[in-house]
Amino acid sequence: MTDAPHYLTVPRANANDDSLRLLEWKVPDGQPVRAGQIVALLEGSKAVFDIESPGEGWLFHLASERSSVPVGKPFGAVAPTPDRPDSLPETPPEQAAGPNVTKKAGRLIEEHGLGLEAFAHLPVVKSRHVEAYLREQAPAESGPADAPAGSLPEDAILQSPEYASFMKVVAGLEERMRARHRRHVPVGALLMDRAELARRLGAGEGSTIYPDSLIMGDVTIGRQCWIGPFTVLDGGNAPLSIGDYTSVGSGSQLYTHTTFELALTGYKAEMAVAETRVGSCCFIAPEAMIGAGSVIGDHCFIAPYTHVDGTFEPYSIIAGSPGRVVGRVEVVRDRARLHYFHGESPQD
Amino acid sequence: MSQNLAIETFIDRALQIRASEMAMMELLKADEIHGTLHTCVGQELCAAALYDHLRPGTDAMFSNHRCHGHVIAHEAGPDGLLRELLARDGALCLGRGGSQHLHARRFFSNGIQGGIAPLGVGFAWAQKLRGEDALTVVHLGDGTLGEGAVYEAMTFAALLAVPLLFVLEHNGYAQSTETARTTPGDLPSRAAGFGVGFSRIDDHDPHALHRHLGEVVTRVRSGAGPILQVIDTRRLNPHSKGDDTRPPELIQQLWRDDPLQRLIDADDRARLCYQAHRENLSQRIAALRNEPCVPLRIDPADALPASPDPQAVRPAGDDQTRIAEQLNAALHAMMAERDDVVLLGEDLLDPYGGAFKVTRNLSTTCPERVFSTPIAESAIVGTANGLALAGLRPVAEIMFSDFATLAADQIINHLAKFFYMYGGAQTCPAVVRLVSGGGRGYGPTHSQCMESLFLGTPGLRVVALSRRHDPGPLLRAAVADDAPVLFVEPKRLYAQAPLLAPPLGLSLQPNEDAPAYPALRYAPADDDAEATLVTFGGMTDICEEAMRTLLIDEEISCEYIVLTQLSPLDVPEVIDSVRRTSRLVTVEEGPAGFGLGPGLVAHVGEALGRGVAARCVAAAAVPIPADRQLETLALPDAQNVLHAVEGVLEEDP
Repeated sequence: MTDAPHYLTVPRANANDDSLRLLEWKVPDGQPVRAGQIVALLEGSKAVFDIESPGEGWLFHLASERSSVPVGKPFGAVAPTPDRPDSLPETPPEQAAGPNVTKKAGRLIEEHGLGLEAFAHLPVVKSRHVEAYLREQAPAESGPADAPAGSLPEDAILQSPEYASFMKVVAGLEERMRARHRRHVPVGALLMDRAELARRLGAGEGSTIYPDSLIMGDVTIGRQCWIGPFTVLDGGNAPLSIGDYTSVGSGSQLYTHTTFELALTGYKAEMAVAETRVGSCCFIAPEAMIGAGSVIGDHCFIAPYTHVDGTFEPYSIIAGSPGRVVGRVEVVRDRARLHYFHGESPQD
Repeated sequence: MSQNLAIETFIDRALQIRASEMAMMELLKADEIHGTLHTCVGQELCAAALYDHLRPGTDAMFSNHRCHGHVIAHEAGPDGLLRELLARDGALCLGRGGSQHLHARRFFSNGIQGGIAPLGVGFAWAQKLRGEDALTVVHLGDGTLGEGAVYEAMTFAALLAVPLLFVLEHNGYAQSTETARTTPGDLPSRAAGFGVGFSRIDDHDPHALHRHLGEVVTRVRSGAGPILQVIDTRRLNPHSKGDDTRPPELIQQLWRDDPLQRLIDADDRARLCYQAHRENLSQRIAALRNEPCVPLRIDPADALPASPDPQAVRPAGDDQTRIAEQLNAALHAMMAERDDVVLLGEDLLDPYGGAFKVTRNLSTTCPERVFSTPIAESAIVGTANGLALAGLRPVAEIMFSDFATLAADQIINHLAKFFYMYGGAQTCPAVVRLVSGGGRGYGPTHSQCMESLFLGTPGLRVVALSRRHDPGPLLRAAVADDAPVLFVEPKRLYAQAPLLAPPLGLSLQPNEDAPAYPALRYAPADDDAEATLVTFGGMTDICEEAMRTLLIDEEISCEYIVLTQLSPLDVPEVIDSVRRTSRLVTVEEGPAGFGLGPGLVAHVGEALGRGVAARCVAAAAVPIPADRQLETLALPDAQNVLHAVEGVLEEDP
């Protein structure tokens, strides 16, 4: 039996009602209910609806009587235990108490470690309210607290001996890179060795990571991996794992979150987050994108410019946008072959 | 004609009408009358014989462009008409109506063919509701038989079984066209097809005509229901001035056949009477020339009756029921409180109770005062106007404001005009509820905001409900208003509750020098508004969402004005606010181009006499598409408002 509560959501009654009114709770908060028992009355513009309990358990209110509840949103829950599950929001789910704070004011408050109590009387806290408060609080204080000492104007930096010696180092490293590898690389890659970076980031033995990569959060990289330049490895929202012997081509991006729905709805939707896993011995060609929640089996070949989104069996050739299985990888001892399917993609 | 025929009152009246028409044609030729006349020479007996059985002041008469005979018979003389045509003191309509648009007590005429017929239904229904021993006459010509409003009126009259007599003076011509060319089928079937009684007679025997009309009037008065009475007659003069293209020999034949002319030729007493009327008229006209003129003043304030109490317009109260329910409750309360409130519209009958349930249960609680009508918007509004002329307080529902085009003639040429056109003595206190706007996926013909088509119509008040208003009192104010009111109800509001708390960071400002329907004005507490945002109707949500973002993200505050009255434009609050901010953004759901926004910007700019940075947010200039995504793209949203405010802030007015 699962501990997850069953949510009571507002049904769509008709084309006109985007929200219904919670007319009455038939069962008090925290009381036991039977499956099919009428627990609430919701009122639309044309009718009143009985809401039945989806199962046996204890009813918890997520909205108060006479409040308006939007279609599709939960207004109550039936939990398997008599204790209110921690995962449930408070009743009613109202906005955080306290004054509204503009973003600029919020930044000032945070910078100066202030509390909101001083501004509780204001309907909206603006930056100038915070500035006025700060002036009031520290009228007599003097000193260079505001202006950081020793900061150089922009032009002065370029004239400074520190800059000159830094550029000397850079020039030397560039010369060394050209001599050893006949290549020019961004300054960052001159300063830090790829293997050194992989070690620092906890990658497995023998792995290398180009310093121009953007690597966020919880990223696990196995042994002998090659992470090319200009890649994005996003473990910022959920774990991203890459097995052993896998290559991530230049410019490829591996994500564990997406904000597409956030953007399309004008930030009404929430950000989607999911763990992404890439197996061992995979070849990710340049400029591929691996979407959040994707699971790629071992020995997969991912063609350039592919948008991978979903779960793929080991030994798949994945290509296109959206990425589809277009063939099979065959590994025989020390050789690998790519077998492409004929005609329509016979996925699986 | 025999020599010993006594000159009876109605024949004397017919002779007076002819003498008047002849005198007025002479005045027209001498350019003493401005414009034109539609004389009834040849048809005088119809009016004279009919009105001898009517009771002016009790019975109501609705006439058309050829109304001189009717009004002279009604007023027992041509004095008021002559004063009107010469614009002298005592003119029936202060010189505003002229020849075609006349009003006296319960007599009403208008120059739109057939348009006035539904008004007769409304008036007759009011007479019936009040139990008056009275009837209503609607005058028609055979040239009016092509107009749909006539048939809508017949349908309504038969359904309501009202004491209504349609009198059709059949002179054989529609302006210059023989009606045989424009009227297929036969007249009895037309009446029968609508459940209206039918009767036909010619005017060759004045006494038989007089007797017959007496019988028909008695039948209608005694509750026989509506009757169409056709009188075959002739028109001897041109349609109006000199536009007679009929063959001269036909006209000569008509003169020879004219019963009144034959009477004048054959009967000494008739001839003497006629000559006496001519002489009398010459003297009257000579005397009138020396009388004072009507007031020579043009003041737009004259187009509407005195304003109602502005206190009726309030911000939303603490009633958090849906707006549709609050409107419904207000209608219930009004119908319980006063017996002059009447509802009409399509599908109002319970259990359906109206397409949006605003009229739910009213046909059950007040069955005699709720008319669930056929689908006929012109007659719905026309009937409401007739009820209003009779002193009732009708509330008509246009199920989707898109259908208001079908009633546009009734709104623009009848409802809005009468108060001014009839000299300011006759009010038309009708409310027409327009269920308006999109957001519901109902597509191009069920989603429009039609108010901009009616804005600027003189004599018409256009009021818009929003989530910021207290719905019940606003509807009550409209019903209590002596002016005709288009009451715009955005349908997206129905399922919503009014907004209680003021928008973030703003507070409601008191309204001094408030016009009739003051706008609701909100200002930031620290008086740091950088722009003025003006909206109405269903657009408050997107404006407030945009203002919230502007405030939290960018610390930009706006003064925010939710208009109540859209037309006539009377917005001192907006002018005052823009005087401070110099920046104006208007937001409306109707199409871009010629809506309220551009008009408001011009108005405010004129009033301030200086540059104003302005943006008008409106729907895209396309018919409203049905698909969810397309409709969303076509209608304004919070982003549009936000960008418009940012836009005016970048300018340096």
